[in-house]
Formats: sequence, C-alpha cells, structure tokens
Amino acid sequence: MSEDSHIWEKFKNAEDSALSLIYSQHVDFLFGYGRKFSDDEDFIFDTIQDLFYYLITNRKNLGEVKNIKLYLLKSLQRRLILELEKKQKQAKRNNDYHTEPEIVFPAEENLIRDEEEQAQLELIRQGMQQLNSKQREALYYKYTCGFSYQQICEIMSVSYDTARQLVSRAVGSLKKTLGKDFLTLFFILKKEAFLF
Amino acid sequence: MKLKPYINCSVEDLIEDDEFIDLVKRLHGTPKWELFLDDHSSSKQKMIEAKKIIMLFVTNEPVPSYEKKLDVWTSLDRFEKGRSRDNGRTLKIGLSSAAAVLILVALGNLVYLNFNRNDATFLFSSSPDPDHPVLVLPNGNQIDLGENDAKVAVLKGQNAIQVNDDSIIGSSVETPDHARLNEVIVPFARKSSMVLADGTKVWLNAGSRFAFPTKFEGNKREVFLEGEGYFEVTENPDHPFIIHTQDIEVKVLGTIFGLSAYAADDFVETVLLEGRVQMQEKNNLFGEKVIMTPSQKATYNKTRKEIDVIAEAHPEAPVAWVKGWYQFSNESPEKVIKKLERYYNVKFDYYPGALSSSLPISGKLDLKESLDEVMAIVAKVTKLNYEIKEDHVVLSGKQE
Repeated sequence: MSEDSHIWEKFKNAEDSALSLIYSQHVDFLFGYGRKFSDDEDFIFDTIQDLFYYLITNRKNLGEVKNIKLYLLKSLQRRLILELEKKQKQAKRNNDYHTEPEIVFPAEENLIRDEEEQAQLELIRQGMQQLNSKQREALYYKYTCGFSYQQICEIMSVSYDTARQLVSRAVGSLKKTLGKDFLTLFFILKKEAFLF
Repeated sequence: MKLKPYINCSVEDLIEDDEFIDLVKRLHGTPKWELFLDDHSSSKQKMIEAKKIIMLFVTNEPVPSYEKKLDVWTSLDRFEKGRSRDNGRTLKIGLSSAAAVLILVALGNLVYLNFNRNDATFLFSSSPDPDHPVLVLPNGNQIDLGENDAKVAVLKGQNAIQVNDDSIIGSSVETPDHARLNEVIVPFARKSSMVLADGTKVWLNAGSRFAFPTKFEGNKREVFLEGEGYFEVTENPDHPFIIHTQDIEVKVLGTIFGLSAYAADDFVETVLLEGRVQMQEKNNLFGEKVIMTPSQKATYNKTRKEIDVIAEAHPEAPVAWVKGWYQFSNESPEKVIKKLERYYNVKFDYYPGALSSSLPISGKLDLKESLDEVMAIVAKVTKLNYEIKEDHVVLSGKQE
C-alpha cells in the first residue's frame, strides 16, 4: 500500500492527525493552484475550507485514494469552476475570475533586468505567447506539478494522446521560436534560481 | 533509489520521462546534478538541454500567509472535533489514549501549529533581522545585546537573565504559562553564546533564532532553533534535552554536537562529537528516526525527506565556527559560498556555470579576517576572480 493510501485510510477512520497531515502537506500547493483561477485569496481559502468540510463530513463514504495531491487538485478544480461560474453570473463582467486556470511562467513576468537579458527574455516571452491556454495548462501539470500523462488526462478530461500532444506540440513550438538562442536560456534561468 | 540507465535517449524522451523530470527538479542547483551528469556522460548534452526545457516551466508558486493557513486550520480542527462529539461512534481513537500525543505540524517558515494546547510549541517573532543580536522577552520587550558577539546566561534559581557579564534582567512576570519563551535573534555576520538554566552551553551561528525558557519545567528540556547552533548539553537522563527545528527534532542525552537547520537550506545537518543523540523527522507519521554515535554526521534532506548518516572523520570541522574558524573538507563551492554569505552578511553574484568547473574544496578559513583576505584565499583555490562591491561579491571565471 502506498504511503498516500495509508494516510487516506487513517483519515477515513478519523484517526488522530491524519487531517492535519493532509492539510499541512497540501495547503500550499492547493493555494498556488487556486491562484491560477483567481487573485482573491479569501475566495481561494473559502473554497479550500469547503472542500475539507465536505471530506470530513463524508469521510466514511470516500473511495480509495492512491495519490492525495491529485485527488485534492481535481476536487478543488471542480469546486473552483462551479463557484466561479456562479460568481460570473452574479457580476457579469469581472476580470478577477476565470473559469479555467491561467498559467503564467516566471520567464514571462516582468522583472527588472539589464538590456541584454531583456532581449533574451523577450524571445522566450514571444515563444510562450504562442502557446494556447490548454497547452500551458498541460505544461503546468507535467513540469510544475510533476503529474504523469495518465494523471493529466484525469485532470483535464482529455484522452491520453491529446495530453501527450498538448505537451509535445507546446515544447516543439517553443524550440522553433527560440531556435539556436536556446542555449542562452540557461543563463537567465540559473540566475533566476539564484535570486530566490 | 534505482535509476534508469538513460542510454541512447533523445531530448524528447527525457522531457517526457516523469522520473527524469522529478530528478531534474530535485537536483537543480545542487552539486548532485553535476555528479548525475558525470554518471551519464554519454547523454550529458541531451540531459542539459532537457533540463533547460523543464526548468522553463518550474514556477515560483505564490505562498499563502501563515495567518490565513492557521485560520482555516483552526476552523477545520474545530469542525472535525465537533463532528466527533456529535457522533460518538466515530470517536474511538484519540481521547482514549491516556497520554496526549504531541502533534506538531510545521507550516511555512518555522512556525508550529499547536494542536494540543499545553504542548511545547513556539512561534518565532516575525520581525526582520535586527542589526545587532537581540534578546526578546516573553512580554515582547527587546534587549539589544550590543555590537559585539553577545553572551547571555540564565541565572539558575533566580529566574533572571544576565547579558554580556553585567546587566541582569529580572525574569518577566511569573507566569503559569510556561510555554512562553525568551528568544535570541542573531543577525547575519554575528555570533552569540549562552548558558541555559540547566548549565547547557549553546553557541549560535550567524543568522539564527533560538528560543529557550528561563526555567525548565516538566520532564523534558525543550528549546527551538532556526539556524545553526553548537551544543554542550548538561547530562540529565531523566530530563531529555530536545531541540525542535522545522523539520526534525533532536533528542539529547548529555552530549556535544552541532546542529545546522537554516530555513534557506534544503537540508538539516547534525554532527555529533560526544555522547548520543537521536534525530527524528517531524510532521510525518512514519518519520525516520536515527540514533547517532560520536563522529557521525546525519543529514536530513528536506525534499527527499530522508536521513543519511555517514562517518565524519573530522567531527570538529563543521563546528569550528564556534572558535571563529570555518573548516571544511570536500565541500562544494556553492556550500562554502552560502556559509560566507552568512558570516559576512554579503551576497555573492556569479554567472551560472562559473562554479561548475570547480572541484570540491577543502581547507580552513579564519573568519576573524576581513572578507577581502578570506576571498583572496577562496579565489586562489577555486581559480575564480572576485570583486567586492559594497555588500556584493561578484565572482567570474579566470578564463573569461
């Protein structure tokens, strides 16, 4: 039995500390994911809290879970989309909310840099802007979250082949835009990692 | 963990491979990445390119505030407990065990959630690092410990704290709430030493926070550390001495050892000189536990959540900072630079790859010397050029 299944069983049996363990291990990740949908931190936390209320209330009837992170992400995604659709109906044109995750990678964000870096960064930004929102989402799950294709299909409700295609086309398109300047990327990214 | 051979694979294969992605993210920025490349020299170039692609999509995720997480946790905890009360059948475990289980969950930057009141937890003050070492009393009063390396001593039986061999601070109000602790904050480029109520001696290294009571009560002696300390613990088998850090706790049975648990490092390291200590992962029901014997070094990797124990031929080396030395053997240049950043409170800037050609280095640096003198030696060993610009040190390769 995987460690996750074990913890999940403990949670279902209402054993001490299982809830705190699950919450503390995943709350940062869930929050980060929520921020892809909305900048409203209170809204994200309300949704996370509702999700956990639901889990506690229905713990006896929950199924087996092999990967808690994946399970929580999918549940939160569903709740966020439902809540956001409600909100959108209430306040018709509100740019703070979107019903699909909006992924922004660090290279796209405007940080203060010198001119040479700016030029290189501009190239990456151009490359990234050619990616559509589904491609970005797939890249996020694959590389940022570290999910497998099988898991990405579950999250995005697409077929296995589609998930693979989204990732490989996105990478292919990036490589094409960046061309031989690809090597200089390393410079920027390492420096970024160093700064944080 | 067994790794795939990764022979004859293309960049495309690599960036598809979940194990490789995980590995890149774990080894990124550590010397282990270079070692991994050396082990796979036939695919080295491809791996470097694959890593570049993967790292494009690794974001610095926004982190929620500690208060907010605590808020939500408090209502979840109350909700869960409330439900268990309403429904007697689900409450078979937990309260039946006579001794309350201490559950500590670390969130964010070394803060502890207190799930069972009365149990030892400590929330370090969130104030930014001061210019001088300071002592923060439980009532929030701050006492400046002066410009030099500070000395603090708890006067046994008097409930008082002596600072720098002269001024004596009467213990704040006698409070039944013994969880309230004093806190010493040592900023970068400073050190501090202290004697606790039980006679235990503690040296605190640059950039550390340490919390301790004026009087040890109960059957455990508990203190909290973020950063690096060297401990000479007074023997008392009936009252184990426990040091809590964010990820691990170290239980001591009368002993001399060093403990490095900086929040910014991805590891926690304990080196044992005398006696016996137990190092245990917290925040994990199945946490690993190791008992160390002298001349061993235990390293807890925060990402892998594993403790490795190795024999340390020179156990005094990692704690040489107590005497104003920094001694290291076979250390990666990155790690040496990280240490110097803390000692001298400077920031190193270097081009990526500038250090990659440098081999692990060994040696001894006198930290009482100026940064310029120390850098002259480091530069010679690493074959790098350096330039000190105020609080920045710029490194560059010689060949450039």
